[in-house]
Amino acid sequence: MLGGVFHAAVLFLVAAGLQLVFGVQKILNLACGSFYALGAYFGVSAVSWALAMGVPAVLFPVVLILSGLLLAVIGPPVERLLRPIYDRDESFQILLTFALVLMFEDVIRFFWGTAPHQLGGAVYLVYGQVKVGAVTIPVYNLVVIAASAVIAALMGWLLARTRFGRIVRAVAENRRMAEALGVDRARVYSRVFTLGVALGTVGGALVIPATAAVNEMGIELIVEAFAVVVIGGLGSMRGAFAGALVVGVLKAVAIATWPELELLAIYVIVIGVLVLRPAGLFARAAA
Amino acid sequence: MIGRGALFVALLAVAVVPLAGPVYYATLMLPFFAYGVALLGLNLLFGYTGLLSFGHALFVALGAYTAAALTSAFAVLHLEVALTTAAVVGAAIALPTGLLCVRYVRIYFGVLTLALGMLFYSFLFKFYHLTGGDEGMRVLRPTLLGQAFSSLDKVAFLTGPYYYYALGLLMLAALAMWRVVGSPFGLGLRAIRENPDKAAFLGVDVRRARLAAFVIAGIYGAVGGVLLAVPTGLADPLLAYWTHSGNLVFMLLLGGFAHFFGPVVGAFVFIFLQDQVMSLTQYWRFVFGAVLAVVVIFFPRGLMGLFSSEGGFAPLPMPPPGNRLRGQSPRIDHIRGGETPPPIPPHQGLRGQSPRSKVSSTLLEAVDVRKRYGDVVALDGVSLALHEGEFVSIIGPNGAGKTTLVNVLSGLTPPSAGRILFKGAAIAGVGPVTLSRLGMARTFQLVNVFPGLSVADTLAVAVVSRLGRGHRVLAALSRDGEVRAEVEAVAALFGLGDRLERLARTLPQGDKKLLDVASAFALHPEVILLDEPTSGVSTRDKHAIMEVLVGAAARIGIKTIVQVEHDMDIVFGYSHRIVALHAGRVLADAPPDVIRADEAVVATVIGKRA
Repeated sequence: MLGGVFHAAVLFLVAAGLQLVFGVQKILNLACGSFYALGAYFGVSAVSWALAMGVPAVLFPVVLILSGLLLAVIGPPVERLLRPIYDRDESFQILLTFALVLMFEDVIRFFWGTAPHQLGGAVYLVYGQVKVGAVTIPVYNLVVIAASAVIAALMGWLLARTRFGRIVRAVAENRRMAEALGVDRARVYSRVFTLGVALGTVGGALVIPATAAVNEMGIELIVEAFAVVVIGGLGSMRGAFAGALVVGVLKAVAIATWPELELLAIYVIVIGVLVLRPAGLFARAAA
Repeated sequence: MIGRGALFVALLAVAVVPLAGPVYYATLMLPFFAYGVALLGLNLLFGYTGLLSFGHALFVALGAYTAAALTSAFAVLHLEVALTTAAVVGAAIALPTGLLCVRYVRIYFGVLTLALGMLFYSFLFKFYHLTGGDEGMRVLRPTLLGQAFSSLDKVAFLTGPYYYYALGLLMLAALAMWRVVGSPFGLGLRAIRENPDKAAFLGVDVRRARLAAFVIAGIYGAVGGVLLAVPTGLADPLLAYWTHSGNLVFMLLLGGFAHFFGPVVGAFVFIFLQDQVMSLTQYWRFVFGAVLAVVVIFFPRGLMGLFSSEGGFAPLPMPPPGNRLRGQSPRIDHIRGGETPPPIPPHQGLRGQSPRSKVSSTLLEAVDVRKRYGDVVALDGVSLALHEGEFVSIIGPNGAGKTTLVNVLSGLTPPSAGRILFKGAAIAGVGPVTLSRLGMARTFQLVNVFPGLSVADTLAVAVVSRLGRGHRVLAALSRDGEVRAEVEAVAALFGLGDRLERLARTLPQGDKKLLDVASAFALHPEVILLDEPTSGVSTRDKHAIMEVLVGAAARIGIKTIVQVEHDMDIVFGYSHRIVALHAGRVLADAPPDVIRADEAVVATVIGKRA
């Protein structure tokens, strides 16, 4: 159950990045899973390097988050690549992000090879474990859940309260009108996309103490992230939060009770939501 | 289009590969045949219907596993049986999944198909006692037309009899698909791709046509899957993985979805390119990603698009229409003739006689209709009867509820309260397709055409559905003389006879407007509702359009015309009756001379001029 919430916390970050980019740029970014994978590999390297440099092990989550944020520098150039197709049909936009998926897969292979990369269990358990009832959970899981919740709150604050958030929402609502009122669309897109990348890379970085970074993690996660956004409703942040919880917990329950049904259960929910509430559980009218 | 000569040469070249070329290339051709078949189906969905599936690999996997189950579990080795079974299974799975998917378009369709594909993948992966899990299932060597060819070794079998069998099947599949896209049904699909709302108002059952396309695509996918699995001898779950679906779309785009042979060319180039690049670098995915990015950004029409600037029949899918029809100065010189507008005939009306002189029956009736959007009351108890032989204009200031009334009358928006009766039957919210069958048509305020269809095809959409031929999947539309004759007749009535093959998006604005109206007229409705038929057209052209319109209505036998119109010259020049709306209520409902004398109406609705 708490394992599910841990997974949900990471899933939320990736899905939030997906939602943000979709909500503002109207692009369904298949490559958000690739950012997640990239974040994971980079995180492993960063922590290993930091430990070798003598940074105390206790600080490794900070290293991970910093490495995730640092990796977000790839955001602006990638967004630049997407720019020519903003006014095209969605099909082409999806395909271009699929091209990114293929390219990032080999970028990872090029730098890190095909073998799984993992941080030692020592790092994972540096905070010890706690017993909740009959199960033991690493404290790190709770740290990640808390971090994710803080990021969610920060995102909410950013979008609802700040000047930048208002501009972003205006662009999401009506691109033309916002531009007519003097918003620099290119700049907003670039920043939003970078923020979306950062959410993905930080999500990927946070997950690796618990699991190894493998080549397929990106393309596997994207499918779950899709499930999350469909359940929650495309373009809605609250939806990403709720959807991530649903998928994460469901997955944990399925693994514990009937492992064959793990993925099946998620898709059954997805299809159920689409049939009963096509716009998702938390859809805004225009999403 | 590829010339017949080029096609023949290509076929000949493919046929001699096993005889002349190295065996290696012959084996590379086998997946090409398989993907060719699968992609022909996928392109019916994407290139023709405008639906991008990111789960087509599901059907390929389905075919592969069907072949595996039959050959290894049931010891049925006839390839014909495997192909037939796969086609049936493909259709059986495509029907329920399609029912679910075609309710959605654009991104949701893509996401849903992706989810379904992954659902199947996880089934294949997890239920290993049934499917062999990640090891997959073996596909045994099948017999071809009952022949086992047991004297041949595996490679000789595959590059010999199987090669020609698969090639033959690809040709057969292409031939059948050629018939499908050239049929009335295929035309309906293209109309849906261009503009689903308009297609529905011309009587195309959008969901059913999309579902049929989905099922056909599923069958092609499954058949392709069988062909793919025989050479590899294996059906494994990765066939259903979403990246495989992505590669299928990649191949399609590479070849060019706008061309009939695009998918086949795409499959060919993809496979050989993959082979070459993989032998050069292990990072072939990166190269392929870059290739895909270049294709998407710079050559969205794919390789076939390089050969024909406008020759393909499908245009680039664009964002939905509505934002790009402004700013042109519309002209319809070919109708207008001289520079001065023709004189307005007083009360010419339909066929010239006054409807009030005889007892006419009520065709369309609104009884105490109300429509509210949240707190806004758009219609506040409107009652209205429209009779045979009438030309009725609805006038009123902006926001009076004119368009809402037309939307409610045409069954597009269900009223909040009240009844709409057409020929005595309630039609509130029945939907455009039923409406067109009952005998009602409408046009919209903004020009609403199929940008990438020719004038003839646009009119044919309506004619086909009027003649009830939209479900014909294999009949050749080009040889249907009856449809052609009617198309030409309607085009002539609207002065479009000399530009039948022009694409709608290349027409000047005035012609687009005419084409829009003409396609609605081609349904031969009894009642037609026109929402500002002359909006966006210069004053000089307005009268010309109205002349054409009234004349055509008389020739076609349209009984009643209802229009929303702002131009009072036109309103008073053509109407038998004028309905003045104000704030959602009927302010007046009377013949033009009565309206003109009514000071209250003139003051609120028309203004001082009259």
